[in-house]
Amino acid sequence: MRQLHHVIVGNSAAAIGAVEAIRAISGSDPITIISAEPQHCYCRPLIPELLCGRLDGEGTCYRPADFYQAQGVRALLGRAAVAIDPELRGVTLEGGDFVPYDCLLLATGSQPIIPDLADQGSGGISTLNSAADALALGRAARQARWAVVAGGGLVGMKAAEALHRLGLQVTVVELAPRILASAFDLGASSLLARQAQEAGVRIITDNSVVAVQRRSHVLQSVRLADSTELPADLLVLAVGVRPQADLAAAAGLAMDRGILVDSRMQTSAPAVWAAGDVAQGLDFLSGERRVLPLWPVAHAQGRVAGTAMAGGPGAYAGGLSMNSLTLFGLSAMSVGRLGAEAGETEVAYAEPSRPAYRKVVLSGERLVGAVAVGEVDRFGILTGLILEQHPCGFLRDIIPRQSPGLLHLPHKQREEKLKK
Amino acid sequence: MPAIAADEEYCMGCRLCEIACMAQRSGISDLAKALRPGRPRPQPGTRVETEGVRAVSISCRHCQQAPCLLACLTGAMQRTQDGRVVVDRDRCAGCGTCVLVCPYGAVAISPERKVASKCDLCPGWEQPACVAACPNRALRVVEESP
Amino acid sequence: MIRSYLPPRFQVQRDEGRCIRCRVCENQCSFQAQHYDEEDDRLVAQEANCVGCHRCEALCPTGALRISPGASAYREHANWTDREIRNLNRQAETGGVLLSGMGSDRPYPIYWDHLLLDASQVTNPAIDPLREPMELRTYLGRRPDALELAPDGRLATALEPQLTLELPVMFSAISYGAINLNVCRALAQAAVTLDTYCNTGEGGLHQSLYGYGPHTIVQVASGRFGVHLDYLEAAAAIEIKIGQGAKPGIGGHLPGEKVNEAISHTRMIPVGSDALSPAPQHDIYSIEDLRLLIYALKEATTYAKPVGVKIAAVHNCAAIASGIARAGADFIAIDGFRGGTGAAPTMIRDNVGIPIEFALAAVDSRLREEGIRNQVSLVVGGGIRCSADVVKAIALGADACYIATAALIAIGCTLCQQCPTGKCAWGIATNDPLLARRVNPELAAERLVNLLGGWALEIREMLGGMGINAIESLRGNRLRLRAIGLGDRELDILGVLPAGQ
Repeated sequence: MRQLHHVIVGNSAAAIGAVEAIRAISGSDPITIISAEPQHCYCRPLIPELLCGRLDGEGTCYRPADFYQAQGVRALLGRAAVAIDPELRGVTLEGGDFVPYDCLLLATGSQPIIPDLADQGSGGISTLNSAADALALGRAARQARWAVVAGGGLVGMKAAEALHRLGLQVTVVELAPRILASAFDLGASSLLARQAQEAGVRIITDNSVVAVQRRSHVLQSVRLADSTELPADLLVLAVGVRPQADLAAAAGLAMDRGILVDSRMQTSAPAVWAAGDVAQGLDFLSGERRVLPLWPVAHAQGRVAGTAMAGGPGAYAGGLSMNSLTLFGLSAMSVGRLGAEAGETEVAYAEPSRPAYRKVVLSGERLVGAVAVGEVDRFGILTGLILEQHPCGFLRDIIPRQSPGLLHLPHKQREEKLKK
Repeated sequence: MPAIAADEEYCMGCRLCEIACMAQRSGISDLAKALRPGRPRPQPGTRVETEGVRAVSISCRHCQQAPCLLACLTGAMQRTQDGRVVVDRDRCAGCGTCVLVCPYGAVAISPERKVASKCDLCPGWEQPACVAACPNRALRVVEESP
Repeated sequence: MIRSYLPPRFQVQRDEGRCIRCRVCENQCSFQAQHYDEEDDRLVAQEANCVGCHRCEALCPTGALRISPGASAYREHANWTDREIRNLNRQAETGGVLLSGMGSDRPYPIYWDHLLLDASQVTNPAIDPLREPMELRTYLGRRPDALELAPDGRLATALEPQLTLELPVMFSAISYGAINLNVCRALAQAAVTLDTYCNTGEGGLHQSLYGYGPHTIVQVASGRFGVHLDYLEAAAAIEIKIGQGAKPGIGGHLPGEKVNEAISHTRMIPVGSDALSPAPQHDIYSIEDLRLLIYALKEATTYAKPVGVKIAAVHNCAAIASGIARAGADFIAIDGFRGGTGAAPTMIRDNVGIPIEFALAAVDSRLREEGIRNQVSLVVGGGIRCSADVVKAIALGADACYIATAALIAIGCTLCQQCPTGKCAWGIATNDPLLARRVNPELAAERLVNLLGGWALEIREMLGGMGINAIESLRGNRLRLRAIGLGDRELDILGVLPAGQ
C-alpha cells in the first residue's frame, strides 16, 4: 500500500490530535503541518496566563519541544495557507508554494469577532486569540491603568482576571444579562460574577461597547450602548469567535456556521476533513451538527479525523459542550445542557454563602446536563453518566443532599463501570 | 493496564488507604511525622466515598483510552512506558479539564499546589501503599483493560 | 437513690505527638469511645464507653493508642473483687440477669496445664515428621464390634457412615445470628481447605453456604431453627444439640432486633421475632425419645450420614454418654464449661458445668468399661487453646476436638465479651451491616487455615517426639500423659499417673 501524504492546516488541539491518530496507525505516512503562527503548538486556553506572566512560552507548550521531529512531521510554521484546491489536491501558501496532499485536514480554528467601533486609530485595542496577542497585551497592560473588556464570556473573564492580576482596574461589559452565558447557567454565573466583583472587577451586563475616544491617538475611554463613558487606556475585544473557514468557503465546501462534516469528520469535498473550532460536527446530545469551540472536543475531533485519514475504523459519537473554569479562586464546571427545555427537569441546590452550587438537567431518566460551582470534585462522574446514557433518576434525591459519587449509582451500574 | 480494584463489600470506610497514600507521597517514612497536624498534606491518589454503611476507595483506572489524557490542555497527563497514566506536575496548569472528564471522579486538583493529583500505582514500590495498608483486603492490584 | 458510678474499666492513652487526627479510631470504635472534636482539632476518648476490644489500637496507623486497665481502682479485696462490685451495681440498677459473651473467664484450674506429654529418648525412637509420613487422618462414626473379611481379603462387614478429617480438629458450633455470614463463610471455606468440618450451630444453614454442605455438620437444636429436609440432605453429618458447655440446662436467645431478613429466612422464623430456643428439646424427655429422634433423622437421610449428639459437660455425663451411645448416636460431642457463647447469663456461664478434661476422661473410661467405646466417636470442646491441648485430649480418649473461641480469636476476637450487645468492633459477633463487613471471608479463612495448619505441624512434632506416627496410636493412650500438681482423686478420674511414676 502506498503511503498517504497528509497535510494539516492548523497547529493546535485538532491538528495534534490528528497527527497522533495518524501515527497510531501509520508510522511512515508523511505528515505536513502548515500554520500561520510561528510558535511550537501551544495551549490556546492558557494564553491569559501568558498575558499576566504566570506562565511563559515554555509553560504553555502543548507537546514536548521535539514533538514534530519525534513524530516525523514536517512543520511549516509561520507560513499562512491562502487557498486549497480539492480537485488538484494541494494547498497554496503565501508566497506561492504549492503543497500537494492525498489527505487534507482543515484545523484552522476560530477567529475573533471584531465589532465595528468606527475607530480610526490604532494601539490600546486588542483581541486575545493568540499567544502573540497575549504577549502584546501583557506589554501594553504594564503601561495601562484602566482596562475595559468587551465581552463577559470565557475569554473575556479570563482576560479580566489576568489584567486584574497585573494591577489594572478592570471593567467587563457583557451584552447578555449574565456573564459566561454560553458556558454556565444563571445560578453558576451569578456566583462567579460575585466572586469577580468581590475581587474588585466591575461587571456591566445588558450593555456593549459601541465606540472609543482617543486623544492624540491614545485611547482614553470607551462609550457603551447606553451612552455611559468608561475611562480606558486598554480595550480587550472578546465578544465571541467564529470559525476561521475562509479557505473552505473559497473552495466551495459545504458550510453552515462552520465547515459541515460527517461522523468521520469528512467534509463535502473528497479527501478533505475538518476538525476543531472550524468544524461543524455532531453534537452528542442533540444529534445535530454544531460548532463546539472547546479544547477537548477539538482534540477528540482531530483524532477521529486523523484515524479516518489514515484509513482506520471508528466514528465520532459527537461532542459534548463542557467547561472547567477557575475564576478568582472559585472553580466551576459544566457539561451538556445548561437548562431544562420543554418536558425536561432540573434539580438544583445552592448555598451562596459557601459558595456552592450544583444542578443537573434530566430528560426523562437520562442525564443531559450538569453544572457545579465551588464543589467540583468528581464532576467527571456526571460527564460519564451523560455519555453512558444510563437511567439517572436517582440523582433527584442525591443533588439536594450532596455532590454525586459512584456509590450513588445503582449497584449493577457501578459494578459494570468499575469492571470496565 | 494494571489498576487497583476496590471491593465495596469489604470496605469499612476506615480511610487507612488515603492515609497510607499521603504518607507514601510525603517521602517521610515515619507516618506520625509525615502527617503531623499543621504540616501540609499531599493529596491522596485514592479517595474513599461513603454512603450509609457502604464505602469504596476509588482510584485511577489507568484507562487504555484515558479521557483525561486526551482532554489535557497542556499535555501534562501522560502515559509511562509501563502503561500508567501520570501527571507531570510541573506542566500541569490546574485547569481541571481532567476532573471534568474522568468518569470515575478519580482525579482531583490538590488544594495546596493547585495541580492535578491521582493514583500513580506507587512506582518503585513492591505493592501500592493503599493495598498494603487496607486491613480488610478490600483493595487489590489487578490487570484490567478498561 | 443516686445512679451508681462505675469507674471506667479501661483507660485510653493517646500519644498526642503521634496522633495525626485521621479519625480511624473514631470510625472503627463501635462503642462510641472515641470522638473527634472539630473545634479543638483533637480526638477525645469517652473512657466510660471503652470495652477494651483494642480495635482502635490495632488500626491506629501511628500506634498512638494504648488501652490499659482503668486508672481508677477500688481498694483491693480478694472476696469483693472489682468484678463482684460491678456486677452488683449493674444488677442494683437494672434488676436484670447479668449477660456475658464468650466462655467463662473465672480462674478455675485448667487441667490441660496439669498434664504433660511423653517423649522418646532411647528406646522407641522419635520420628522426624518432616522426613517420615505422619498420619493425622481421623474418622468419626460408629465402628462395628468385629470385622469380617471376605475370602478375597476384602472387607465383608458393612461400615456405618464416617466423617473423614485430615486432622483431628473441627470448627465447633457457632450459630448464624451469633456471628454473621462473612464469618460463617470463612469457617466453611477453611473447613474445605483443611479437609475438616464446620458446624452450623442452631442458626440453620444460609442458602449461599449450601455449596459447603459436604464439609458442614448441621445442628438440630431445641428450637429446630432452619431444620428442613434440604438442610439435612446438604450436610455431611447431623448433630442433635442437647446442651452447650457455656450454658448447660438453658436454651439460647437471639434478640428480635438481630433477626433480619436473611436470618429470618435461614432460621425459619418471622423477621424481628426473638429466637428463643427452649432448654430441653420438647420431644426428648427420656433416652428412648432421643433414640427415636436419632433414628428419625437417620431414616430421613437414608442412613447416609453420621448422626451425633452434643451434650454439655455436667456431673453425670459418663452415664448420659453411655445412654446416648446405646441410643444409636454415631458420635458424642461433649462441650466443657469453658465453652464460648454469643450470650449467656453470667452466673450460668461461670458456675455451671464441669471441665472438659474430666468429662472426657470419665466418658471414655465408662464406655471402655462397658465395652461400647467403639460404638461412638468422641469429640470434645470447650476452651481448647492450642495443639498441645488437642494432643492431650486425644491421649485422654477423644477422637477429635472442636474449637470455636480459638477460631474467632484467629479472626480477630480479643475477648472483650461484649457479644450480647451486637456491636462487635471486629465485625464477628454482629449482623450489623456496618460492622459485619469488617470480616473479609477470604482473609479470615486464610487465618483459620494458617492456625490449624500450624497446629497440624505441631501435633506431628509432638507425636513424632513420642515415637508415634499415626494419631490412632495416641487415642486413649493415657500412659503417654503424666500429671503434675493434682491430687489422688483427680489422678484417678483422669486415669493418668503423676509425673515421676
